[in-house]
Order: sequence, then C-alpha cells, then structure tokens
Amino acid sequence: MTSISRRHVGKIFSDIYTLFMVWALRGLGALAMLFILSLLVFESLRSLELSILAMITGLGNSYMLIVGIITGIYMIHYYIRQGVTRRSFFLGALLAGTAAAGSVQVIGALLNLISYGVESFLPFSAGRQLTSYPMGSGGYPGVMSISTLISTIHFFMGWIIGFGFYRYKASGGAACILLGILVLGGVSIIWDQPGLITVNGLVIRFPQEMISWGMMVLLTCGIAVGLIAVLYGMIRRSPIRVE
Amino acid sequence: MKSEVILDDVTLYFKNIRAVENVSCSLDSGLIYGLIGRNGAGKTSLLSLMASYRQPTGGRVLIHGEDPFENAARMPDVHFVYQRDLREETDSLQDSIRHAAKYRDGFDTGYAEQLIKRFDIDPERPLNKLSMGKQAAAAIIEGLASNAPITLLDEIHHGMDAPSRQLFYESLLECRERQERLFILSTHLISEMSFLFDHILILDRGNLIVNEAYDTFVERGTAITGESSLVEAFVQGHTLIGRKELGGTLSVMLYGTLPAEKLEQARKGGLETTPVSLQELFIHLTDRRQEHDIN
Repeated sequence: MTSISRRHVGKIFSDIYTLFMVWALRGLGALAMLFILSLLVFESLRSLELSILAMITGLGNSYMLIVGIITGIYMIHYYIRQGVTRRSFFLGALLAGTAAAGSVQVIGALLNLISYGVESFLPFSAGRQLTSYPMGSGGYPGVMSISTLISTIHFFMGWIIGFGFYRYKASGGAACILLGILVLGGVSIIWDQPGLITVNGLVIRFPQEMISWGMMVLLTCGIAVGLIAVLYGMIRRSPIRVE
Repeated sequence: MKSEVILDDVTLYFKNIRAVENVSCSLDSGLIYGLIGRNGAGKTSLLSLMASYRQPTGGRVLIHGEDPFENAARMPDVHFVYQRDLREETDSLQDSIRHAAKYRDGFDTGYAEQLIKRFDIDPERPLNKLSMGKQAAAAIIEGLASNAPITLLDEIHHGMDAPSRQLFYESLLECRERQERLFILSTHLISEMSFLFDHILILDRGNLIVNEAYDTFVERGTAITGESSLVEAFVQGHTLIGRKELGGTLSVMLYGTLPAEKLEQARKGGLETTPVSLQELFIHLTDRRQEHDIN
C-alpha cells in the first residue's frame, strides 16, 4: 500500500504554488503602486535609501506566516475531499510553500536590481545593503538562501498554528501560537534581527562571536527540520471535520 | 455483484463517547443503501470512517479488500458528499468542478454540465452567493459526476425544495443506470426517499440494528386491525412495536414476518392486515420509550 501519489503531489504543488504566487504578485503590485505614489506625494520619502530586497525579506516573512496559517486552517479538508491522502497533501503543500518562499526572494532580488536601474528616473535612492543579517557580504545567493530558509520557517510555523486551530481548536491553537513566538523569536535571535522576544525592551542578541556562520545555518536548518517533524506528526493521522 | 465495502467489527469513540460500536456488514456495488438513524445515532461517523476522514478506534474498514486510510489507491474510490459551510467559499461551481476533475480520474465533466443545467444553477456564481438549496444541488452534482465507485451522500438534500429533491432522486437513479456504483444515502426524509432504497441500514446509538434488503425489511412489519378482543388473541406471542386503540377497535403493529397461512387466518377471522411503512418501522425500532427485543 502506498500512501503518496506522485501525481497528486505534483498537482497539489502546482495548485498551491500558483495560488501563493498570484497572491504575492498582487500584493507586491499594490505595494509598488503605493510606494511610487507615496514618493510623488511625500517629499521626505525621496531622501530615504531603500533596499527593496531587504524590505521584501521582511514582508516575505509575514506573508509566508499568513499563507501558512491559511494552509493549516483551510486546505487539508479541501484535498481529502477529493480522495487525496494526508501524506500527498503534506508533501505537495510543503514543497509549494518552500518554493513560494524562494520565489518571493527571487522577485525581491530582481526588483532590487531593477531599482538600481530606475533610481536615476525616480526620486528615490536604492539601498546597497542587501540585508541586515550578520553574514558579511554573502552576496545575492547567500542572502537569498538564508532569507528563503527563514521565510520557509515562517511558513511552517504559520501552518502549525493554523492546523493547531483546525485540529485542536482554540486551546491547541493558542499553544501553537506560544510555540510560534518561541521558535520565531529564537530564529530572530540567531540571525540578530529585531525579534519577538525582548527583555525590558531590550532585544536579546546571540553572542555572535561565539557562533560561526555555518553554525547559525545549521541551527536554523535544525529548527526547520523540527517544525517539519511536528507538522507531519500533527497531520499524518488527523481526523477531518465534517461540518 | 461484489462487496465494495466491508466493515468488520468497527468501533469509533470520541474520547469517552461511543459513536459507532461493533458494526459489521458488507455492502455491494450496484445498490442504493438507505442509512437511517435518529440524530446522533452515528450515521455521519460511520460514513466518515468509510471516507477515511477518520480511523476506527477498533475493527477494520475495507474498500475493495484494502484498508483505505492513507491508501493512495483506495481513497479516491470514495466520494463523501455532505453539506459544507460555504460562507467563505468564493470559488464558483465551475471552479469546483474543474478542481474535482483534476483530482478524480473518472470525473465526468460533460455530465456535470448536464446536471448544472438540470438544476438550473449559474455555474459562474460564487458558491457562497448561492441559496442553500442550490449549494446542496452543487454538492450533489459534484458527487454524482465524480463517478466514484462508492458515493456517500449525507443529509445532502437539506434546503432543497420539493422539485429540486425530485430532480435529485431522478438523477441518482439515472447515475445508477449509467454505471454500477454503490450509493449510501443518509437521510431523515424516510417516507419520501424510501422508493430509492435497495437495502436498509438502521443505526441506533452507534449499533447497526437492521441490515436487510428493503423488501425483506418492510415485510417484517404488519399492522393488524379489528375488534380489540380478536386482535389481542391473534397477536399473542408476537413482538409488538405499536398499539393504537379507538373505541372497541385496536390496531397493533407486529415486528416479524408472518407466514402466509397466519395472514390468511387473520383475514378469515375478520381482521384487517396492512403493511407497515419503513418510517413506522424505523420510529418504533428506535423509540426510546420502549426498548424492543428484536430477533
């Protein structure tokens, strides 16, 4: 007996990836329009030096968290109804979310490159700093890889929160939110970002001199693998609600 | 005819609440099964187990001889249709059909389009903008056009008006003619839908108390009407499932097949014998006020 249908996994991947990218492109389009209009209206913005990639990295994390929550709450039911196994759904959605997180970064990088070209025509300055990660000049491939990994973690965490509410109702969902604060807070500490966890208003920082870049990547990958294991455990035998 | 579904001592508990208990039966292709039971009898739970929405707490569910749960080859054999909450469903019926056709190999899009016209639904209108009756019809269209060998229809006709329900019944019978499939129809509209059933399954508090061909089952009920003393004498030793007295006339419902000679004896004795409807049998068999010993 096989519990994974490759044909279904491919179709689920294509469905969910397309959906996420359509939403992302619509959002980015609206954001770009708003930004250009703001530049024309608010003179003070024109003096800002703005790195499109860094901005999209931040927005991308929030976006992936939200689509993860939507995946957790709404999608499994939709596919099981069509005779798809939980494992096929899990694999298809996992690949789609990861690919979408990477694609958002690729779009960010392309827009960043475009911003260098258009800054002479538009009244703004394109920022040269690709990221605020403590990783030196990783260049586009380094920045995009790390951002994709972190964005994917946001997706997994959103998925866990959404599915927590779907399967375990309010109390389970609340527990998953707490887990989310800890995990995403932990990731932000590792990568020295203004994080979710602060003490008396101070951002907790990981002692960067004590940890190598490779170790930071390994730790982050470990978190991602841990989240995948949690998700799989939640989904593999989950009952589907009839309501 | 081959058994498409086998339930072998199936039990389902929700924490400490028993939803289905020790249900065993085998269901054959080409038949329409009427699954009836009172509210909370376990009908939806039983259908959920067949559709792999849940795993049984005990026992086995087999679809075409295999456990369907997380079985990529067997799960598409079952299509579970029930009334969903579509308040947030902005997809149209057309989108829904396209999506179902993508995942279900046997899905007949042409037939779905025919049914859309028959039920007079705007296929481009978002599902959440359709009336409750049209939403039910949309779910029925998806279920019937799926061509799934095992199609489970759980209380799907809610909200449909009488003409739409009639269209549903005609379409269901048409589907059975087109292709040998197994349908399980869970309903509370017993009188109206009984003509559709080939076989009856009655669940009571999670237990399968009746699993019989429709014709055999309805023969089990006989109403005997006549003068009270004659009726009382005639029904001695039989299982009584109902009793109505008006003046000196008594009408008693018996459970259990009466032999032809016994029926003849009743008629000769001036008693009237009439069949009992499925609904009446069901009401009396599941009546909480009188616990019956059914042999």
